[in-house]
Amino acid sequence: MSIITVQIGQCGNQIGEKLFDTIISDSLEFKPNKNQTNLNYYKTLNENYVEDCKERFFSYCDNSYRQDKLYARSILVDMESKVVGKLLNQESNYIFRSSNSYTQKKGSGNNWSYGYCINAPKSSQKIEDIIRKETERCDRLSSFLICMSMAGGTGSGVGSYYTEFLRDNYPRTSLVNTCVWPFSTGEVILQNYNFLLTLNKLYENSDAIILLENDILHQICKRLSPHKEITFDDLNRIIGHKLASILQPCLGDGQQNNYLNQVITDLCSHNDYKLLSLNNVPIMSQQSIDYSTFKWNSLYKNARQLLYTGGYMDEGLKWGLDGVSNKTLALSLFARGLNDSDFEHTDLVNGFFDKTYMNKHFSTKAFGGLWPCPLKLWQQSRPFNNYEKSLSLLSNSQLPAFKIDMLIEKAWKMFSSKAYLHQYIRYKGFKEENLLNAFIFTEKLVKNYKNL
Amino acid sequence: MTQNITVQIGQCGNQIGCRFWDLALREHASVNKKGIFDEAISTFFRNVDIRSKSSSYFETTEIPVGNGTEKIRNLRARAVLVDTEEGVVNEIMKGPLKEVFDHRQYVTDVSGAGNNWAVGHMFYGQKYSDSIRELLRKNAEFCDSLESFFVMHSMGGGTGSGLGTAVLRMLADEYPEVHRFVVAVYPSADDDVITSPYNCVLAMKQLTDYADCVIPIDNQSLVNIVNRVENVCNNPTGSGSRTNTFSSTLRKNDPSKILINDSGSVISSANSTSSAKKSEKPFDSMNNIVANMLLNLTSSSRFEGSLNIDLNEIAMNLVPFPRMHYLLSSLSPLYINEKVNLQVRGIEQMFSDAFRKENQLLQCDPKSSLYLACALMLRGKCQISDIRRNIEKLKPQLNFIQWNQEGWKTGLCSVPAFGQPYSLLCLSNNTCIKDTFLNIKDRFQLLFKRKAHLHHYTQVDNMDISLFNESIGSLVDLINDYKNLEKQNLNLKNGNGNEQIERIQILS
Amino acid sequence: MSQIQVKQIISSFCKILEYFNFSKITPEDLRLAKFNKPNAAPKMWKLLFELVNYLKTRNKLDNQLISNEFDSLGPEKVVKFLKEELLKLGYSCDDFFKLKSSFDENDTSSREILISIGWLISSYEIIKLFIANSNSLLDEEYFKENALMAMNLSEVKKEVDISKSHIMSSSSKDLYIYLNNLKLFDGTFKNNLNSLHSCLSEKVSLTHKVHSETSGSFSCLELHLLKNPDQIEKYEKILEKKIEVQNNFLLWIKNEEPFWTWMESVLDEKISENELNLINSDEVNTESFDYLFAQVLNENVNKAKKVECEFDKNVKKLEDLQHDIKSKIYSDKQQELDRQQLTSLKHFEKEIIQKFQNILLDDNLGYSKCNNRSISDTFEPRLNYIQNKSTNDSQKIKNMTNITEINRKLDEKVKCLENIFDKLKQTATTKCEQISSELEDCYVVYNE
Repeated sequence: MSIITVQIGQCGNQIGEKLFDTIISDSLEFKPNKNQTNLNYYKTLNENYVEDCKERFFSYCDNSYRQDKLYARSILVDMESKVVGKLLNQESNYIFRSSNSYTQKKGSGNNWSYGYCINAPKSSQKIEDIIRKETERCDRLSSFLICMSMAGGTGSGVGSYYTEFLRDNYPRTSLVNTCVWPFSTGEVILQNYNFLLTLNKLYENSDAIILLENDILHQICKRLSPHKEITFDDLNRIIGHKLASILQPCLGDGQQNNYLNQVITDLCSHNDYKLLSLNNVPIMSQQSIDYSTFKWNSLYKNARQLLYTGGYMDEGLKWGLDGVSNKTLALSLFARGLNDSDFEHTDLVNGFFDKTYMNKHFSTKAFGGLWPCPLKLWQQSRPFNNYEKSLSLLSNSQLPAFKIDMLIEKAWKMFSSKAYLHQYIRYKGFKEENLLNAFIFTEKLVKNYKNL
Repeated sequence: MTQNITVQIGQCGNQIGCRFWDLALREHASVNKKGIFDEAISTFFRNVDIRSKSSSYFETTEIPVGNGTEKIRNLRARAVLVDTEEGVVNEIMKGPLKEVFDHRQYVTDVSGAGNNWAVGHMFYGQKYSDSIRELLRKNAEFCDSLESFFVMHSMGGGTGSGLGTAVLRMLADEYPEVHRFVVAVYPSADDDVITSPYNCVLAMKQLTDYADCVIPIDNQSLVNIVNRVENVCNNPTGSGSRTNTFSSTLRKNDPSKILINDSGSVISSANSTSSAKKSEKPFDSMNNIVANMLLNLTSSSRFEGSLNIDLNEIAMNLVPFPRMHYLLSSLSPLYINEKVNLQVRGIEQMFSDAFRKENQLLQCDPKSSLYLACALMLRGKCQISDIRRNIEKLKPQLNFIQWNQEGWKTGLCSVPAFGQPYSLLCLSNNTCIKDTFLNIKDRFQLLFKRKAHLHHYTQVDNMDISLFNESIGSLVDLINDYKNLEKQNLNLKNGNGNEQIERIQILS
Repeated sequence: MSQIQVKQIISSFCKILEYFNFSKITPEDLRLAKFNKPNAAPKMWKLLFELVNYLKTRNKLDNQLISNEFDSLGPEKVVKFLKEELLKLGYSCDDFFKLKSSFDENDTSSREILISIGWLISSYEIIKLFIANSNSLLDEEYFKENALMAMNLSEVKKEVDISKSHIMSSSSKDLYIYLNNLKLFDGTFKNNLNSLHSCLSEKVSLTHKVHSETSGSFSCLELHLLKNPDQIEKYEKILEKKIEVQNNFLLWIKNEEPFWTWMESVLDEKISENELNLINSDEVNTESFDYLFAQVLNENVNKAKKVECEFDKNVKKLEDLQHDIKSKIYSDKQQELDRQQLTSLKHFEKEIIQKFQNILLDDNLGYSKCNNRSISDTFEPRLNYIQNKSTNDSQKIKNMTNITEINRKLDEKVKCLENIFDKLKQTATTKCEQISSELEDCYVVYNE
């Protein structure tokens, strides 16, 4: 079962790179602790893990003589050549296929309309070909994972176009969009328009939208290394870690695999609720990991608190009961690392996410109670990315809607003074109504979540 | 990568262009140490082989970038030079930069435009329409993806304002998809050309109608900046010693040597370091400032960085309404060349300097006015957290329009400007520009009331007096547009008036 | 025909049943049933139960599941169920419907059941169905068995149950909540379908790989066996079984005749015994065929009435809503009434019509089948034979008149039922049309 990553725009390609970096370093550079008692068990565990991981994310050289190099199952799309060019030339344990890349010379100019109406259709013939070839390399395709930003023209406009394109051409393959939410103060001035237009298109076509906010990532980085200047590389590395932590092999009850489409079925089966947040417990700098001990008990405790306070990392978590209570529709927990001898995961889950907790934070008016399976646990005994134990929380909750609400407020101000509209409607196929409809649609979306 | 073509018109335009090409060569030479013709260089230069067998005097062989391993043979600037006199262009063709231009890149005449917009626009515009069009076409054909034209000219004289805007209009007709940046040098108040207010207003209508972005610059600001920088550098206060180290490292890595070694042909631009001392022209320092601005503006589309800004993104982000495309520019730190510069005390100061009155390339004070949008383009050793921190710091000091409270566009280019560890170009759309326009309007009306010198204009073929009325009307409209925005903003801020439309309500 | 042939064909019949996962039955059991020996009845009931279930699913039986159901239902319900099912299938032998509903050791119903089994096999050509079902490819069968074993069926069933109960519990709540939950399950269903599809395409692509790697000379199964020699034995067993059942089929096709003659002899047995027990027959006549049929029809009528009632209720609800909207539009134009609200109303209306139609089409009402074939036609020639044989018997003449009488009565009832449905349908459509046209008006008013 494989995932094809589609990296679109500068941000999408940078994320994609970090995702594959994390996956490869997690898989290949893992060395079991020498002191580990049952080394053989560990070894087979690791072998299976690595095999599964390769099947998911990598393919081999098309001519079967060279089986040693891993090729990322990834499609690189950008409307200018600098970033993709850099990725294709890098030396690493894996390779991005240059035949899987599409670049042209002229970017989308931060303009959704230019990306969606002009740039994307122009490239669709070639990209269709690339996608088809890559799907033929998979025996079984679980999902497309589309990485993009919501701010720029290429990520948002071209990304929207190809999400729609994939939905039309691969109606039975699940589509998951990983979207980077731009800094709330200025990366691109038109980010709010672009955001709304993109969200509208994605909601129509995608199965799930994982939102990652640059503001929060920046704060996380700041906590990890308070005295260092933070680069985009740092932010993207966190994204890579987060994504890999849910995509790497894991098992549910009944030995079910955490194929992305399965995970999405649990979380996003209702058409009106597709926004996902992704949090990890713990997040630490490399130095702190070495000096930390991990206990499942406290990890679960933090996860439980993080979820309903709407926090983003276990350090500096709010412990009071005041503040926003975040309603969650569904949650998937990914637990990675060896079991403590005295606790089973299921017991811990039942203990920390007990009936009262669930009824308070998972029960919704709109569904007249809980979802049929509001909480799913995935387990993997092999530790992930140097963390002896870690938990990832992928949740469908109210939180993003509140933030989108604030964004609409800003965008609406701009829209009601008709600022920048001329930049959008100058391209054929875009009308003022498109933007207005995006507003109406997003207001509805926010309302749905708020009325939970 | 995309390519850009500069169109230099008139004395001023050509002098700025000359400095731009000189500095651009140095910048690329300092980055591209192997003498390879790469994507970055190709944005402004062509690589040609003038000695290959198939080359005749008229035809040279183009060497494309290919897979980025071709050596540099002879660089040709992607430029079109136009003047109604021969002097400046001839000088360039004889000077150190002669190698980067060839005979197919310029059009000149001998008699000048006599500081008359109508002569430049109507007479020469007509006369050279075909030959300029042909030049542009040829140069455009050398580009596989033409992104923008940089049109450089003055606003006061006849050639720059008249012929320059005629060319601009031609570009708008023939290349509607290609962005048109105009670097327009405005006359200072004590300008010695009597008709400059006429020229300026007539040209402005053309700029408002046909340009995508105009970066107005005035001579007075450039003079002030040059004076400040030179004063500081002549009376070194500790920063001088550092400048020396820069120049000594420069000498070791003399860019000309690097660029020569493969082809053997001399790219003499770099000689200007030494020749600059001998034959420094009065405007060179001032034009260097403009050239530096242009280099910073295009850096992100030439070199890689973690947050690229393409040229078309600038108009997209900074122009909320189509006619209001006049952008203020300011540089920080200020420098004339790698030797003569104002060292800043650190990144924080660089940011705050960029918003000071003294760093603006047009005389105005944006800090006391209303910002519509602002772009920060950084080069060198800066990170996203530097930007975040400084935006937070600057925000309370600046007044942004209500509907664009977070109107920041940011860019990070990892290749620094030559001789600088880091630098910042700040572009902004600010209502304070209306003061400059008001000033021009007043001076125009002073003349126009008396109908002074009008006959010089009306005797030119096709020049109608109604054009004066239309042009001043256009300018007044533009000024009102800015005023209205200020008014609207005040209303929004105080929460009165019907300016704010309620958000859409969704009933359930 | 010789006795041996009959025995042979009956035992091959038993083997065929066994192959299709029916509970084990021996020729001896059948023989006992023929002579109405008491202890044969439970086995016959079970066989009939399994046959009826087989006809419903047309799939290899899950023996365990059926057995559990059979046991948990208890004799009373099983017999009631079977009587109803056979009625729907078109069986109309009065004696069968008079049978007592118990598995008493002393029960003497086995012959009657055997006759009904015979009827079922002949009129629905069950053996042909078996043959058609056994045509699956060997590899498919082999892998399916493995896959079924690997798949945790109880787990799947549990999930289905959760979903079912969730939907049911929410249906009693607010319509909005109900719709939300339906949408949620629709999504889940769609997603699961898609992942099934991806499994299928994986299979195709892997099969293709096998064929292209071995240049077509091996099937997937053969390759699998080559890789896992220990499985060959298992495979051989399956193969043997398969051959055996094919032989049995062959035997059946060639020698069907003796089986039916034997079945006739069962009938003969019944007739001769009936003559002996003529006096007792009235006593047993508590629950006859027409009584049962009438009961089923009555139930359906009640059901229809309930549907009508519910429909009326929904229509009323709709009208109220519509009234609300109207008053909102006319009384207070300032108050925004958004399009969403109207569309959701439209949906609601559609929902009701859909629901109603579903109920109308519901096969559970079942009368349609009986109606399609006139009741006397459903008697296959082989059963007519009984009657022909006994024409000169006065008792049988009485039976015949009895049957025509029943037919007449039933036709009446069916017609009556049809009328009810027609009326219901008509009112439903007119009501719906009326409402939608009025809603249309609302739109127009709103848009103005």
